[in-house]
Amino acid sequence: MLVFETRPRNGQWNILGTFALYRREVLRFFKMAGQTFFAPVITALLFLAIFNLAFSGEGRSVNEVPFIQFLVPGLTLMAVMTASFANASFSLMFEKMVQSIVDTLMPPLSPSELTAGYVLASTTRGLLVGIAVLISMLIFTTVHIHSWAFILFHAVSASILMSLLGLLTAIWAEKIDHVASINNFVILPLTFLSGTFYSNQHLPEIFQKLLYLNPFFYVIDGFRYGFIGVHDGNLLLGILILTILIVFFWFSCVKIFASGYKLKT
Amino acid sequence: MTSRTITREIRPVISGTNWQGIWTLYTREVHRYLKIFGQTLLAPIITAILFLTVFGIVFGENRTVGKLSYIEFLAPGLLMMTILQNAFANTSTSIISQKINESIVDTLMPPLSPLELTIGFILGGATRGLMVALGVGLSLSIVVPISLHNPGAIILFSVSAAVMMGSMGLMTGIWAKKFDHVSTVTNFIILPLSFLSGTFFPINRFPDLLQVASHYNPFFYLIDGLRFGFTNQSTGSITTGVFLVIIINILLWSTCYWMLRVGYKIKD
Repeated sequence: MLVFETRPRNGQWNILGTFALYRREVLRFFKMAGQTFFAPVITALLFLAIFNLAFSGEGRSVNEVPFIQFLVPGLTLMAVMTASFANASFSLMFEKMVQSIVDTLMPPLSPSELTAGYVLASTTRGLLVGIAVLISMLIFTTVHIHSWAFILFHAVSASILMSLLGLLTAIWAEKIDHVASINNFVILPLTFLSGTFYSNQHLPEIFQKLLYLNPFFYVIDGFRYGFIGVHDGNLLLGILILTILIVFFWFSCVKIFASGYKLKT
Repeated sequence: MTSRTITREIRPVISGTNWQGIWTLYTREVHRYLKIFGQTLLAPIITAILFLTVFGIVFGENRTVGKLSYIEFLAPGLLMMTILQNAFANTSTSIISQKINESIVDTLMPPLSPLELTIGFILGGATRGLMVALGVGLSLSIVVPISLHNPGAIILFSVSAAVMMGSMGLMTGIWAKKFDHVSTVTNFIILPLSFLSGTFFPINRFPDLLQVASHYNPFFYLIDGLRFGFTNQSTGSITTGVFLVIIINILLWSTCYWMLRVGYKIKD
């Protein structure tokens, strides 16, 4: 009887359950605010300092935009993406390791609700980290806003995309080492080399072409366009690619949760 | 009576060093990270290559620092950064995970004196720092012309950096109560210092006050000294660097020895 009471049979969403999962996940990362908020802020500020000092007095610019204006959006989005991925992957991985995952799978939550709970929480962390990083950089530089819509869309979709990837990684991974491998050998190189720190015009031609195959490039390019009003790639194509990727990975997550792959034995 | 005899067999009471014990601890420490070499060796190599790529692209080819091209200037800095971060990571995570698993007792129970423990742990961490640096050096040498101008300085500064960070990691691991504490020290002290001590740019780009402060920063001398070994170009005084690094190493080793001797936060 209990199951029927907590989980609506008529196919409606278990809003309360999803929110409970969301809330648990959010509280989890707030508990270690030092690592989850201050550390990425420090890292972003360090990068800002390094690039700024290394360029000092050169008046260098990218596409008529001062380099620091070019860098701020890149660093912000890099922090958002890293944080979203880390949250989703480590949270689920940790539950698998301490075998408390059963406490998440037992309650009457459907695969879609599980996906939503985890992804929304990681997105929350990603966006909060992004806001913290941006505010801290405002102390040292000014920021222009060209289009709020582009900033919001790209920040949110980058965050959701990375949360989904983090979730898939954690479901697949058998130990924390696997998560770290994906992080170090896939996510980090893709974010570093996707135009966070440079415009693709700096690249040799062959790498410019390769860059267009990197989905993260479109995220960063569109996000940066929201600030400085200059872009390297096709914005519409970027939005399309992002949307398709999110829909694809979302349904993959739901499907995998439903199948119980590596979670239920 | 028998038990005393046994004790005497594995631990010389009168004098002498338990070399076998040190070696065992050392090899355990080394095997620990070799088991996860993807994270402990490959990941830092990838990171260094990424840094070189990004900075190389951003700064273009026609930039110079002194007589060096920017890439030649950067490569020794990245090598030193790698040593600093990895030697520290090894001892600190090794100790803290043993503390968390409560398996630290298996390291403290065997007949190893505090000094022997100190040596085993620090050398284990130092080995990791140097191994990673070797890997980074080999992979960077594909794109960067690396010349060994002064091998003595290269060895002196890389080894002393590795043991210095090994001992700092040891102290952090002993002091920390949870993993969080180790990450805090890594993120808020080690990372900023290894980034801002002249790895990526010459310190004369700092505002005056920070330039003066940099001359008291041991990391600056380590990076500068290693860069001197590779390129014959230095910002600070190499002699000061050598002395400072030796003094700091003695201080850190003594502190580690003292901590393990009194059992600070590990025996209660």
